[in-house]
Amino acid sequence: MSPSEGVAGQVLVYDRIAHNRRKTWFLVAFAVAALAPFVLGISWAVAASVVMRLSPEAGRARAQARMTELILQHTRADGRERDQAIIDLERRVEEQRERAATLQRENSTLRMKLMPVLAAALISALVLLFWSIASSPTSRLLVQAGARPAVQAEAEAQRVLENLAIGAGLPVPKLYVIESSAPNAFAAGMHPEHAVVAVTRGALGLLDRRELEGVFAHELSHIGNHDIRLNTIVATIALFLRIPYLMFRREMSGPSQRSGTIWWRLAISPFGLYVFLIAPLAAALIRAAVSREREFLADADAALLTRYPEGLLRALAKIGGAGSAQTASTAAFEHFYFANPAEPGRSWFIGRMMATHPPLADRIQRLAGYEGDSALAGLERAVQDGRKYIQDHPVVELDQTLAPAAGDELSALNQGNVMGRVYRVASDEPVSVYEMSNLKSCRVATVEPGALIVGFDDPGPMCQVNTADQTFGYIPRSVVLTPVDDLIPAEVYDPQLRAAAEARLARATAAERIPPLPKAGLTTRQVMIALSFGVAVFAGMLLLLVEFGGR
Amino acid sequence: MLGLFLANYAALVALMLPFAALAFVAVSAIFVYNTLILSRNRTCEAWSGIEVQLKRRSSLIPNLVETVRGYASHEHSVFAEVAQARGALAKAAGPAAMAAADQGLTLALGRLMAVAENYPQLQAVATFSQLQEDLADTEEKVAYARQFYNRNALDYNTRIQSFPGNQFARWFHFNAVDYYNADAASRADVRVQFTAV
Repeated sequence: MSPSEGVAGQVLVYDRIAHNRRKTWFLVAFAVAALAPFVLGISWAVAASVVMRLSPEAGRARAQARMTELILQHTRADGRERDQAIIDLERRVEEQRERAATLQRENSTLRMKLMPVLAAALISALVLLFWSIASSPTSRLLVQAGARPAVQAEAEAQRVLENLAIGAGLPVPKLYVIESSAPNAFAAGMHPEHAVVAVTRGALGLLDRRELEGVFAHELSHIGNHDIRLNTIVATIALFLRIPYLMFRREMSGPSQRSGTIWWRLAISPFGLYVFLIAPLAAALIRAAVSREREFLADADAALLTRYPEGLLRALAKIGGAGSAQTASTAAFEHFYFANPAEPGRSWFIGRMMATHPPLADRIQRLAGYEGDSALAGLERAVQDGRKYIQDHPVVELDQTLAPAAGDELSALNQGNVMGRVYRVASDEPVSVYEMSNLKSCRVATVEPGALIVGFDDPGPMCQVNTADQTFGYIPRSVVLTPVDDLIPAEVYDPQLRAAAEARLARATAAERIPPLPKAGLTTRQVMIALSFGVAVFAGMLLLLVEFGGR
Repeated sequence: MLGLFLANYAALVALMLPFAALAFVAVSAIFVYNTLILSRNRTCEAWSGIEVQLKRRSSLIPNLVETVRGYASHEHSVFAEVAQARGALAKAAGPAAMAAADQGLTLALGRLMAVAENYPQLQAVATFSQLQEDLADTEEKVAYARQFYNRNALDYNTRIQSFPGNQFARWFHFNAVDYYNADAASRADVRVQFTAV
C-alpha cells in the first residue's frame, strides 16, 4: 500500500463516519416523530372513552334529538297540516339539538384538557420502560448469553483488548468468553466504565491476532460511540410503539376468541391502523436501520483505530464462512452482537430491512473501499478457513428449555433474572440462611457480612439466595443486599474466580477513592425519577380535581 | 400576549437587545473556552499515556540487557549503545524530541536483538523469550498510545486553528502541540524483528 492510497483511504473513512452519524440522527429524529402521533392517538382514544363514560348525557341528548326528529319526519309524512303539534315538535328538536351541541362542546373541551395529562403519563411510561431496560444489569445479559470471565488461557486476547483500549482512550473493558463454536462477539454496558466485551470460543479459535484485533476494535468503537445506550433508547422507543401490536398478536394467538373481536374492532379504524400496523412496522424498521448504521460506523472506526482494515476484513470473511448464528440470543439483544446472532431471513424485506446487521458482504465491500480492491484478494481463502473451522467444530445446539425464552421482545422484559444476580451482604452481623421460607425452619448456612451471594427475584416472604458454596436457602427481606452488577453468578461459585474478582473489585474501589455509598436508601437518580413522577402525577390529579371538583 | 408586551415596551426591548446579544456572546465565549480547556487537558492526558508506556518499556530493558550479557558478555558496543539510547530517552522532553529518542532506542534494541539471534542457547531461555514478548507487547502499547495522543492533538490543533477558537487561542495563549511522529522506516524494521517471535 503506497502512502497516497492510504491517505485517500483515510479520508474516505472520515467521510463515511460523518455520513453514518448524520444518518443515525435522521433516523432517531424519525423515531421520535413516529412517537408523536402514536402518543397523541392513544391519549385521544383514552380521553374520548373516559369522557364518554364520565358524561354520557351528550350521547343521550344527541340520540334524543334524533328520535324527536324522526317523529317529526313521520308526522310530516302523514300529510297533515302544519298545526300546533308540529310547531311544538320543531321547537323541541331545536332545543334538544342545542343542548346536545352544548354538551358536545363541553365534552370536547374536557377531552382537550385530559389529553395532555394522558400524553404526559404515556411519556413517563416510556421513560420508566427505558429505565427498566437500561438498569437491567449487564450480568443478566452475560448470563443469558452463557458467558464466563476470561482466564489465564485467554491472556493473549486480553492483551489485545488492553492495547486497543489504550488506543481508543477507553478504560479496559472486562473480557468474557462464551462457550460456543460459532464465531461472534458483543459489547454491553450503558457506560464505558462498566462496559464488557464478550467473545465466543469459536472466534478465539478461528481468528488470528490481527483479525481478533479488528473484532475487538469494532466492539470498542461501539463502547466509545455510546452505541449501546443509543441502541437501547431506540429499542425502547421501538418496543413502546410495538407494545399494542405485540399484545394484539398475543391475544390473537391465545385461546380466548371473545376478547379477540374487541381487539379487531379497535384495529380497524384510522387510529388503529396507525397504532397497530404503521407505528410498529416503522418502529421495527427504524430500530433495525439504526443498528445497521451503527455497525457500519463501528467498522469504519475500527479501521481507523487499528489502521489495518485487512484484519477486520479477514475476520468478517471467516465469520461469513463459518456462520455467526447463536442459539443463546434473544430478539431484544440482537443488536449487541458483532455479526447477526440470528439466522437471516430469506426474503428481501425480512433479511434486509428488518435485520439488525447489514449483510457481511456489504460490510466487507465498504471496508474494502478504504483500502482499494487489493484488499479483497485473500478473502476467498479466509471464507474457506471459516467453512473448514465450522465443519471441524460444529455448533452444539443448546437445549431449548435452557435457552432464554425465545419469542418477542416482551418476553425478554418480563422473564426476570432466572439465573440470579450477584449481591454483597451489607449487614453488620452474620446472616442465617434458612432451609425454607420460614424463620422457624432449619438454618442451613451462615453468611458473613460483606460476603458475595447470588439472589433471585422470585416473590415471597423471604428472599431466595444461593451462597458462594451453592447452598440454596432463604434469608429475611430485612437483610440489606447491594447489587454487584459486573459479576456473574459463575464467578461467585468458583473459588478461584471469586478471589480474582474480589481482588479486582478492591483495586477498582481503591483507584476510584470514592466515599462509600450509604448502605440503604435510594440513589440520587432514583430520587429524581421518583420526584418527577410524583410531580407529574400531582399535576395530573390537580388538573382533574380542578375540572371535576365542582361537579 | 407577546405582541402586546412588545408594543407597550418597545423602548425597553430596544434597550435590552444589546444586553441580550452581549449575554449570548459571553455564554458562547465561555462555552468555546471550556471546550478548548477540555481538549487541551485531554491531549495532556493522552501524552501522559505515552510517557507511562515509554517508562514501562525502559524498565524492561535492564533485565533484557542483563539476560543477553549472561550469554554474550563481549558485545560491549551494543550494550553501551542501548544504555546511551535509554539515557537519551529519559532526558528527552517534548513530543518531537521524545519521538526521536524513542526511535533511537528502538534502533539500539533492534541491534541488540540481532546480536541475540546469534546465540541459539539464549533463545531457549524462558526469561528471555518472556522479556521479548513483553517488549513486543509494550511496543504495541506505545504505538496505540501514540495514536490516541495524535488523534487528541489533531482535535486540539484543529480547534485552536479554526474560528472562533483561534481568537481565544491568541488571547489565552493556547499553543499548537507537536505530533508524536516516528520515522516510518525504522518502525517497519522493528516489525520484522518481532513478528518472528
